[in-house]
Amino acid sequence: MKKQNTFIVATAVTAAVIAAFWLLLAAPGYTGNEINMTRGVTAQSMISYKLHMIILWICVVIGVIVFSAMFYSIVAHRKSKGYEASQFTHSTKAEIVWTIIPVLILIVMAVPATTALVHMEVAPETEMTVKITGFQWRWKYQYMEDEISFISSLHLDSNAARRLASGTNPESVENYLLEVDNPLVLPANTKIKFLITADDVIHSWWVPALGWKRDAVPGFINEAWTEILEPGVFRGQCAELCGKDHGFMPIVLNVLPKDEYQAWAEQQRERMAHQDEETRRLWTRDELMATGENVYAAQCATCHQADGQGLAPAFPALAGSAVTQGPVEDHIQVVLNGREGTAMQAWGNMLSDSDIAAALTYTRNAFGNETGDVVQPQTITRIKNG
Amino acid sequence: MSIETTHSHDESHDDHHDHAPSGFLDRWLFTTNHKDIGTLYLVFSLLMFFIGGSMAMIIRAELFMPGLQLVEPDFFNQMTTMHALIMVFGAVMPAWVGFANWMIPMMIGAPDMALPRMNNWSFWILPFAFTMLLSTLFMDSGGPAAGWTLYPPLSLQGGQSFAFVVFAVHMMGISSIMGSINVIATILNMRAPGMTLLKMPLFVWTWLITAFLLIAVMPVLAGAVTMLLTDHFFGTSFFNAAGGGDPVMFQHIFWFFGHPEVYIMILPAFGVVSEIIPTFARKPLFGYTAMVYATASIAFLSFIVWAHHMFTVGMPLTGELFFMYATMLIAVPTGVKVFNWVSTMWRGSMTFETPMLFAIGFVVLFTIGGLSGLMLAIAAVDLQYHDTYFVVAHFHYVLVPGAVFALMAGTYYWLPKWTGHMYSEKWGKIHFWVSTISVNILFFPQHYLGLAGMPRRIPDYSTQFADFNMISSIGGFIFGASQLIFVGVIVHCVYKSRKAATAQVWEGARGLEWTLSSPPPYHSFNTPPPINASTVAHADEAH
Amino acid sequence: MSLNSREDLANRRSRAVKTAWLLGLIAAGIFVAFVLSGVLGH
Repeated sequence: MKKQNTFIVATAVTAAVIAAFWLLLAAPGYTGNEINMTRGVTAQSMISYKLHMIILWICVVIGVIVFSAMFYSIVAHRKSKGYEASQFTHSTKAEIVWTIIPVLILIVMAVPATTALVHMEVAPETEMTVKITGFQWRWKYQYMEDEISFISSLHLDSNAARRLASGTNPESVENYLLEVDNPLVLPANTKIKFLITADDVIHSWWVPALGWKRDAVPGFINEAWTEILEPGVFRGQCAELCGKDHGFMPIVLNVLPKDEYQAWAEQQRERMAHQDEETRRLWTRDELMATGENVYAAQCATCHQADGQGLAPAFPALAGSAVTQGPVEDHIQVVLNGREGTAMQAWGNMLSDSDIAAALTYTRNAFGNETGDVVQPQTITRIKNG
Repeated sequence: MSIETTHSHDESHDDHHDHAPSGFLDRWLFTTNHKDIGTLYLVFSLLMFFIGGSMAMIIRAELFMPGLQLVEPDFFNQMTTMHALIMVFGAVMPAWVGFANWMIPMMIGAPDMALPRMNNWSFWILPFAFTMLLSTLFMDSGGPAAGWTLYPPLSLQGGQSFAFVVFAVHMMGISSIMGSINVIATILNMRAPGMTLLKMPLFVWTWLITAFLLIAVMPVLAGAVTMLLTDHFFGTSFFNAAGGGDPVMFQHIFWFFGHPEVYIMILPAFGVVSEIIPTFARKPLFGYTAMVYATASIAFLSFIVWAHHMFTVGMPLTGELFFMYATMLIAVPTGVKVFNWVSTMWRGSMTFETPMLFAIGFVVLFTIGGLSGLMLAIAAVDLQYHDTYFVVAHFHYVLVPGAVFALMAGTYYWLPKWTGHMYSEKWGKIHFWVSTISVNILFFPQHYLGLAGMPRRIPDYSTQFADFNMISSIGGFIFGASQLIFVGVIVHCVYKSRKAATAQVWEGARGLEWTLSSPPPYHSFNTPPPINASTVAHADEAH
Repeated sequence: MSLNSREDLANRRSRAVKTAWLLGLIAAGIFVAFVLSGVLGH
């Protein structure tokens, strides 16, 4: 009798703890962390959400039925109550029933699951195309019709705060780890095609509000599409392990009404044109150093570190290195084409020629490297064009 | 070989004595005895369980709060990768081989495994494999950090230590294949006369099927990592797009191994639970034959569902539909199993000793993991779930309160048989309740994290995920600490317990292993036991 | 029928060894097939 009581008390306490815990989180008054999938802002994400809720409730009902039967049996059919064991070993009827019913449930589930998948995967005619290239650990966005392109990296505030024992409380950083320097700007209510690929390892481009993620595979181009139904800022992250800073390559979408988007695009086209001019003119050493310091902080410091000391063994130091102090031609080649088999990117198609020239100038004259070299954007253009 | 009987004195080098060799090395290093090798496997896997577990503690400690407090991201990745490799290949799989070694000869009425020397070899490879694997953590280029799935091109960015990882995987594979060959050869050839296939205990059946899975897929993994090795060190480009290869091809090959692999870890668990529930319900297993066929169906289906791990790589729509339907189908035989367990309990005369508690915990929590698996099968929604903590929660539910709880249930169930002493029922129950509560605090909130958008395999996260990560970490620390109770109970039972176990141990226990003394003689059945209704475990009476 | 009969023992043992070789060959075959498919598919 005593044993039985202990058991019932223990079960009740466990059940109560777990139930209280779940209910607390599910209670409408709970204002803490989100616990369910987002409804999102596209037809795809809403379909996904609905399907998720349907399947979730089917699973809950199945679970409740099975566990109720089991716990009824646990309470009622126990030896301590003097219950005698029956000795039946099978029932063909029951076994057929509980094979057929799950099959029927699965068929019922398969119907909406199939239509949803077809809707999500089969792209309609799209109005614009954005190419997304993942590389360690940033995203590059190219607007195919507009010839706008830029790189989107973790915001510098987050990047500083996320260092090991940085001393900065993440709560004090706005949108910690989910903020970038250059968000992907898109028009609302426009059918957009994405071409998704990668430069080094596999990444996965995921904004939950859009309702899907798609792997970015080097050497292959995956297609996806969206039509975002309302303007706003939507955040996501790389979803496929891609190396040490996998957790630090967020995605931010800034969705604008169509007219505002047009204004933004116009501004960007001007910026691109200005960038072309910048590449053609001669820069002073001070200009290069100042720009180079910013480019280095945004692009290079993740691996080579802010002080140029690198991070052994994978990421070599630039301070006092044979490359940064050696022949400038060799250094340029490394930066333009990367180093195979390492995390060193081919930056040639990633950054503008002036940014590359500035970063080169900076690294050859910072951290105690005193080559005195000045690398002009024109030089980069010339070498790139062979 | 130890199937020698007293008639074979002339074959002098074979050990046919009824006692274990007295020297330590003779007893453990050169042993060909199925029980001693079983013990070695179990002790080894317990050690690995704690090594892999301490890595999990590092992971949960880093994830306790947003921001990086303890480790660099690269080391974090090494921890997640090693935790998985160690738990899968070092803890769960060898533990099941340990159970197979101990129990299969006793359950089918054989004196020992069919190939005792190979048995010795397949165990003693393992410590070397894992020493090699763990040694990479101390090398310049660090341990593997690309996840246990070793996806290229990321895994190819690893340094020289990658070769050690590949060779360690080769050695584990060879060990598993030899262990499986031994299991199959034993079950097919060494059964006592009268022990027909459909009279075998379900644990033997599930292991027979598991062994076939292992033989089919471990060579596939070996092939995949060999190609990674040549890509890394010898300039081939099987998976290098720049050289005409295909990185996604690796994922297909890996998951062709990987999906059967997860059933390799869970099928023997089904077997153990199917032994335990009838014993404590004092009632024969419901639907024995259906259980055998369900296990075989699950094994078959495991070969045609692999790409559900890859719904986001960009597959043709028809491919996605096929893999979605095939995956959903697995719910049917798995459901049959759960219904049969519940029916076995139904109108039984139940008592709730520790093995039964763990078995019931298994049925409930494994079913929760199974249901979230069904959700993940729905390809359209998996585009959201994929690679989030929802997946982490799912597979930990089927592996921890699934496979690991079944291992614990089996340990408590057979420990009195193995040692001849009763373990402390009180501490066993405490272990169960603390583990069950904490494992839910540990893994349940991870469903919420995943749904709310937290990707897996990240060392730091946005502040919106802070609450549940902290709860999960607290659960993790309690769960980790509570496993020390498990060790305490085992050590006490082996060395200190004064309460002798009877041969039958449990009132409702049936089957050949319970006809032997506790502890059983060094050679299990030197003469084949009679097989009749009183010695057959929970087979289908109709057959 | 009895396991005690030496003939029966010898039979079982040689059958077990044959089973083992067969399974080992299957495993080796699968390994070679997969690596070859990688090489030839290239």
